[in-house]
Amino acid sequence: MIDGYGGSILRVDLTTRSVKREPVTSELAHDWLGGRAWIAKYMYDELPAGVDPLSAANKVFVATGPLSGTLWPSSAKIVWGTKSPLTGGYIDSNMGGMIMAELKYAGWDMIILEGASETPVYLYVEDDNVEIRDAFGYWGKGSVDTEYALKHDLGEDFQIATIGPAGENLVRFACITHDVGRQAGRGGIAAVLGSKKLKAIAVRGTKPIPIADIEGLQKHTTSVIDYIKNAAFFPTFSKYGTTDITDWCDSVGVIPVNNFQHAQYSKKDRINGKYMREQIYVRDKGCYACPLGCSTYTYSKKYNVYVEGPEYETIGLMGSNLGMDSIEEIAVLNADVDNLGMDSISSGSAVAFAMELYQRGILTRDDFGGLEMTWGNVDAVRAFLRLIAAQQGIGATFAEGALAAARIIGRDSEKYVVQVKGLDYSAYDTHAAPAMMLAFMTSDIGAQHTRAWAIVQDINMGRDSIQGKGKLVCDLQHLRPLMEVFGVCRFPWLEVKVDWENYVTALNLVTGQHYTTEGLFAFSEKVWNLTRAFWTREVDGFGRAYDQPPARMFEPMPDGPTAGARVTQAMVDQLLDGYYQAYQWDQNGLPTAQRLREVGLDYVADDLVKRGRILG
Amino acid sequence: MKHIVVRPERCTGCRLCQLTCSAQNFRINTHKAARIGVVPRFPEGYFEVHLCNQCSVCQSVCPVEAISVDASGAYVIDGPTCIDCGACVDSCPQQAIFRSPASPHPYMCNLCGACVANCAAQALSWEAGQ
Repeated sequence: MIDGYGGSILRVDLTTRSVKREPVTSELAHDWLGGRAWIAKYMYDELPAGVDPLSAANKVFVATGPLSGTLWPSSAKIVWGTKSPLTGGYIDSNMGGMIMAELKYAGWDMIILEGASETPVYLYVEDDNVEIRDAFGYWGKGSVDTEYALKHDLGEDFQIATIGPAGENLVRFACITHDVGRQAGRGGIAAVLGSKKLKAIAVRGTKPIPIADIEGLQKHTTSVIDYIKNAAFFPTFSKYGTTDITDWCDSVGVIPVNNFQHAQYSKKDRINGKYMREQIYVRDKGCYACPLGCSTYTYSKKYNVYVEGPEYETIGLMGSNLGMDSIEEIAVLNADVDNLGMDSISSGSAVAFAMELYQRGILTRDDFGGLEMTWGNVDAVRAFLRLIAAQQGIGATFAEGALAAARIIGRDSEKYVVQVKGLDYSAYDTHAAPAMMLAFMTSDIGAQHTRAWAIVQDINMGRDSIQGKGKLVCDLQHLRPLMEVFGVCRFPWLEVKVDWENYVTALNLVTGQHYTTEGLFAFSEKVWNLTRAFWTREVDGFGRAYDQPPARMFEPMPDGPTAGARVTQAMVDQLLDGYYQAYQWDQNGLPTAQRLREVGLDYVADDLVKRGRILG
Repeated sequence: MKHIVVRPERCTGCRLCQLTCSAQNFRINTHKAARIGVVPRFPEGYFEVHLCNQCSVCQSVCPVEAISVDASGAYVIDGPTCIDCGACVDSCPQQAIFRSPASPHPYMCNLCGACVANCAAQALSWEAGQ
């Protein structure tokens, strides 16, 4: 028994329909902790170099962390990872909800999904009883519908993760859904599950998680919750969640409008958190052990649809970025992509790209099978999303992801795709936000906001200033990914300022170890080098060229608070120089053999040198 | 006597009350040993909270008189007397008497109040009773 862990890894071979138990050793637990660190390690160690993401040789890793499912506040994260079919590189994406706890109660810290079934199946886990069951009755159903159906068939106390039709049909930005509306959204992990014909995972467990000092953990938890209850921002954040930021993003000119052509939205008051609360609110919803309860469950009367959300990212990408009229339109689009099983960020990006091509006459009504892809046309977007999920007509082109679609369409259309490394931008325009842009450029999965949400520091430190922002992003990238190693949500730290040291204390109370901030940050550096090494191994010519911002940022912003702002190549080069220096990588942004050895990745250094990817 | 009052419309379903209860009363990390129940109802979107309100129905149906009231006003099942017939569990109007591997006999809220402290949504609160 290792404190903080369920104790075992579940290895599932879908080709042979066999399962195997592997122990979590104390070395794995204490040297690699869990969550995204395990995923990075196993992905580098086990995936054959150059593997096709949608082939049976790719694997999906599903990992909890030592704090997942514990009493510690917001211990509700489970991380999914694979070689991304959207980007061709490293992807991990995490979800909240309840399943991370259930998996550990069943005695499992990680699931490794290998091979591919020929017919639809789902994974059934009830403590030690693990079965690969036929899923014919669920295949073709929506993500959320499948969860309700499985709960009905197996029992309400099972925790379920599912893919939707988009994942089944290998849409490269398909997402995994759990607990009604919690998603591991980014990078198309559900398409890999679809290629393996795995429709769902259903888990129930009965064993408590061993804790080194449960009395100490309870005391620590209660004191932190007491702090949270009295925190200045707690009433607002628990009420509005991420939607609270909509007004701010509009006022400082970072909200995406019409595919990032503008950064301030005339209908802001009809899509913000306040309007959402007035119009469609049903209930606040919390993930496991979370005192914040930031999620909002809603019902749109206009469209007769329930949905968990929308969150700010969806408001931005599927609202203002598509020119939608109000929160009701965003709610129905959110419900559509949730049930189809597609990432609302990349869906919004792909649709916005299509609409801009329509706006510019590059694609016409005929190309879209009669759909008028004008900004704000919710009916056309709903139909288009279904074409994408079904890989029908022009939907099949966009199902490849916006960047790949541009390369198919040609006609210089790639400059309208707002992405880095093939992963679409989250909902923050970076015409005048250099740190946030650098965070997008250098995130180890592509343009995702959660690795280093530097937009606030841009506004506070000066938006024109580049000075110190390489270091800032580097520091954020050391702290924030640790949350997904521990298996906790970042929001108590980020939004209500729970001090970081409290997390280290909790980790030690749970595991009985003696981790320090210094040691954990060094570990974080190691993991960041490892994911960079994975990209270096997998992508020919990887380096600085893959860390560039999208072309749109080089165009001057026409209006709004950032009117006239544009990014220059000199700025980009300066940002990357400072950033690579902070990581002690070479001028091309590749980890050096020496640096890899210094951070404890000797075997990775040897491997990359042997493959001719870096110099010895 | 003080009671714990439930405002289910404030519950977010996070189960911190249950985790805290299991830690406080059984020294284990799970929500499944708790003396309080939380049942999500979706797609409608609400949470049922099941907690003893000291109504005394269990005491009146217990065939072996194993249920008594302690000094804090909480109902307590006496282990050695209990024959585990389940009459109390089945008759509880609140569905607030629980079984789990943590105890050989059913149990209900003991009014320890640990859950109240950790319910940030304030779905649980202390109130003075009659």
